[in-house]
Amino acid sequence: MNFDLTSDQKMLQDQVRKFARTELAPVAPEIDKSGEFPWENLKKMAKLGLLGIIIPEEYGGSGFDFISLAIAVEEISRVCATTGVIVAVNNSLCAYPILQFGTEEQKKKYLPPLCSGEKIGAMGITEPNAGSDVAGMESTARLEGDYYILNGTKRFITNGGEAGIYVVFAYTNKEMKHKGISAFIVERDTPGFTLGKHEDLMGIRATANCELIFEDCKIPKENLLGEEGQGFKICMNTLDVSRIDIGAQAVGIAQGALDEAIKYSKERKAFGQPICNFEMIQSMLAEMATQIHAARLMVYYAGYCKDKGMKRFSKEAAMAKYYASSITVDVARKALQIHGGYGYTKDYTIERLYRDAKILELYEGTSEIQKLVIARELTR
Amino acid sequence: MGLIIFNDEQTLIQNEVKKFVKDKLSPIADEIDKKEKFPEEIITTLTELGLMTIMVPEDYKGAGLDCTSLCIAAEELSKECASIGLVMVVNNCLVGYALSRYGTQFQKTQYLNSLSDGVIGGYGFCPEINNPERLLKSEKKGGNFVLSRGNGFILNGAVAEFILFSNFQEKKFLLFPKQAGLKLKNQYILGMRSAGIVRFEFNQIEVPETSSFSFDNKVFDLAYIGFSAVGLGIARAALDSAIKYAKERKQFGRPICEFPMVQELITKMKIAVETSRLLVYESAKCFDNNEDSSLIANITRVYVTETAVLCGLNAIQVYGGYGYTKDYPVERYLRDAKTLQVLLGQPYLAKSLIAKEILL
Ligand SMILES: Cc1cc2nc3c(=O)[nH]c(=O)nc-3n(C[C@H](O)[C@H](O)[C@H](O)COP(=O)(O)OP(=O)(O)OC[C@H]3O[C@@H](n4cnc5c(N)ncnc54)[C@H](O)[C@@H]3O)c2cc1C
Repeated sequence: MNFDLTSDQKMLQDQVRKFARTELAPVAPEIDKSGEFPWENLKKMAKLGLLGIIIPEEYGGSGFDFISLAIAVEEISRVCATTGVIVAVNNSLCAYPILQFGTEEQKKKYLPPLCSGEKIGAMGITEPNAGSDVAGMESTARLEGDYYILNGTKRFITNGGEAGIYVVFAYTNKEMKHKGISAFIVERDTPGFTLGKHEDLMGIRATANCELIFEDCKIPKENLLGEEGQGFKICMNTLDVSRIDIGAQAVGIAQGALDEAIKYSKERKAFGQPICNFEMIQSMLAEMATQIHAARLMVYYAGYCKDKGMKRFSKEAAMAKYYASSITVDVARKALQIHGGYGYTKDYTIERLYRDAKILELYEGTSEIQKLVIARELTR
Repeated sequence: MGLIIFNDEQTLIQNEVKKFVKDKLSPIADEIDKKEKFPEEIITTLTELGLMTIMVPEDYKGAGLDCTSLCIAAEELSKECASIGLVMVVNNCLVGYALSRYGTQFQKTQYLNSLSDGVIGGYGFCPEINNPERLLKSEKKGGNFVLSRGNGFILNGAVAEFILFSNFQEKKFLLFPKQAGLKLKNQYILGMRSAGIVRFEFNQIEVPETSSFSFDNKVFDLAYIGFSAVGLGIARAALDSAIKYAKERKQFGRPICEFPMVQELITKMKIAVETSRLLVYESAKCFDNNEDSSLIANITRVYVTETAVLCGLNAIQVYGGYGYTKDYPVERYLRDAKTLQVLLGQPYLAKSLIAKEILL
C-alpha cells in the first residue's frame, strides 16, 4: 500500500492548483453569469497540456495517468466546475475512446487538435427518449457506398455547441439490440449535422450544452470507431473511465465548498469570536472534510485500477462516482448553511457551488444507475 | 386525513384561494417566475381578495382571520408560485400582525390602515443575527432614534412603501418610510427571485421616537409558521410534479414509476409532505388557541423547510437531466426551498433554540 502521489502527480497538482487559483477562480463568477463558453480558459489550459492529460505525447498529449487526470479535474473544479467538466469531457469522453478504440489514422488525425485546443471534443449518447436506457436510442446509421448516413437527435451534449470533434453513437443494426450499436467520429462541419436547442441549465452554465441534429448526415466510412456493433461496449468502457474524472469533479466542487466554509467561519464573528469556534459549525466542518477525504480516496482508487490495467473496474468507478456525487450535494448544503443569510446571494461563491453540485447525481449515469451497476457487479 | 380539520370559514378561504390559483395565477405563474420581477398586478388582486391582510383586524380594514387561514392561503399560493406566497406571508406576519399587535395607535392608523388599500410593507433584517458587531444598533438622541449603520436584506423591499426593521435580539421594531436615507440594491439571489427581496445599506438614519415599538417572540413564531406554509406549498408542488413525470416518462420500456428506486425517491417525499402538513396546521392551531407556540413553530420551521429542500432535490432526481434545465419548474423548487430555509436564520440556529427550550 502506498498513499503517496508520485512526484509527477504532485508537480501536476501544484501547477494546476496555482493556475486554477490565479487564472480560473477570478473569472468563474463571470462565466456562470454570462453562460459563455470559456475559450480563454481552454487556450491557457491547452498550453499547460491539460486538454490531453491522458493522451500519449506522440499524439500531442501530456502522457499522464488517470490518477493525474483526477487530480487535475479536481483542482480545476474546485474553483470552476464548468471548466472542470469541459476538461473532463475533452479528455475522457472524446480523446480517450479515440485513443483506445481508434485506428492509427484516426488517432493521428483527431488527437492532436483535441490536445492543442484547436478543437474541443464532445460525446453524444443521450437522446430525448433514451437517457438511462442507452440501448433505447433511436439514431441510426446505414452504410451507403463510402459513407454512413446518420439520422437522429442527441440531447444534453456537454461542449456540444462549441466542439469540433464528436463521438456519436447510433444503431447500424437494430435487430441485434445493444450489439447493433456503433460509434462514429463526427466532425463539426459534416453536411447534415446542425445544432439544435441550447440548454438553459441550473448550474455548470457555460458548458455549451446543446442538442445535435443529424439529418442524412454523411460520415466518411473510415470514421467508424472500432468495429460495427462495438458501440455499446465502447460506450460502457468509456463511461467506466470517465466516472473517475467526474468523481474527481465532484470532489473538487465539495472541496471548493469546504474552502469557502472554512474561510467564512474564520472571518465571521458572533458573540466576540469567530463562528468556527462554535461546536455546531465544527461538527459540520468535520463531517464535510471526512466525506471529502473518503470520496477522494475512492476516486484515486478507481484511477489506480485503471492505471494498473485492471480489466474490469466498473464497480470501483461506479462506487466512486456515486459516493462522490452524493457527498458533494450534502457538502454544498452544509457550506451554504454555514454561510447563512448571505450564502444565497450571488456575492458568494457558495450559491454557485450549490447549483453546480446537483448535476453530479444526474449525468454520466444517475445515482440510481450507478447503484444498478454496482449491484450487477456484486451479483455477477 | 382527519387530524387537520378546518372550520367553515377556513374551508371557504381554502376554496376561494384554490379557485383564484386555478383561474388567475396558474396560467401566468411560469411567466412570473421566468421574469424574476415582482408581480405587482397579482399582488393587487390578492389585496382585493383580502389575502394581504388576512390577520389584520376588521377595525383596520383587514379580514380579521386566524393563523390557520393564513397558512391555508400561503400553502395554496406557494404551490403555484412560492415568491407570491412569501410576499403575502411577509406582509401578513412581519408587517400586518406586528403592527396590529404591538404598534402604537398612531402607527396603526397611519400604516396598518393603508395595507388594505394595496400598500405593501417590507421587513428589513441583518442575516447575521448572532453577530453583535453587525446588529442594527439604535441609540436615542433627543426625541429621535439614530440607527448608526447597517446592511442586510429587505423582504418585499422592491415595492414596500414603509419598512419595519428589527433584530431578533433587540425586541424592538423601527418603522420608516423607504426614502429615509436608505440605499437599496437589487440582488441576484439563489431563489425566490420574484419576491422583491433587495439588499439595503444605510449610514446614520434618524427616525422619530414614535417610529419605534416593542414586541415579543410571537411575531416570529407566526412568521416561522407562515414561512413553513410556504415551504409546504413548494414541497407539494415538487411532489405533484415528480408523480406526474414518473408516470409519463418511459425508460427501458416501462414508466420509470415502476422502478423501486424511483418509488423510493417519491415515497420519501410523500411521507415528509404529509408530516409537514400535520406540523404546519398543528402549530397554526396552537397559535390560534393562544398557546405558547415557540417550540412547535421552530420544530415546524426546521422540518418543513428541510422537507421542501428534500422534495426539490428528489424531484430533480426523478426528472433526470431534464430536472436540471429551466424547461421544467423543479430546479426552481429547489432554489426557492433552499432560499426559504436560510432566509430567517440558519436551521442550526433554530435547532439551538429548540435545544434551549427542552434542555436548558
Ligand atoms: C448538464 C448535463 C450534461 C450532460 N452531458 C452529456 C453528454 O455530454 N453526453 C451525453 O450523451 N449525455 C449527457 N447528458 C445526459 C445525461 O447523461 C442524462 O441526463 C442521464 O443519463 C439521465 O438520463 P435522462 O435525463 O433521460 O433521465 P431518465 O433516464 O429519464 O431518468 C429519470 C429518472 O429515472 C431513473 N431511472 C431510469 N431508469 C431506471 C432504472 N432502470 N432503475 C431505477 N431508476 C431508473 C433515473 O435514475 C432518474 O431518476 C447530460 C445531462 C445534463 C443535464
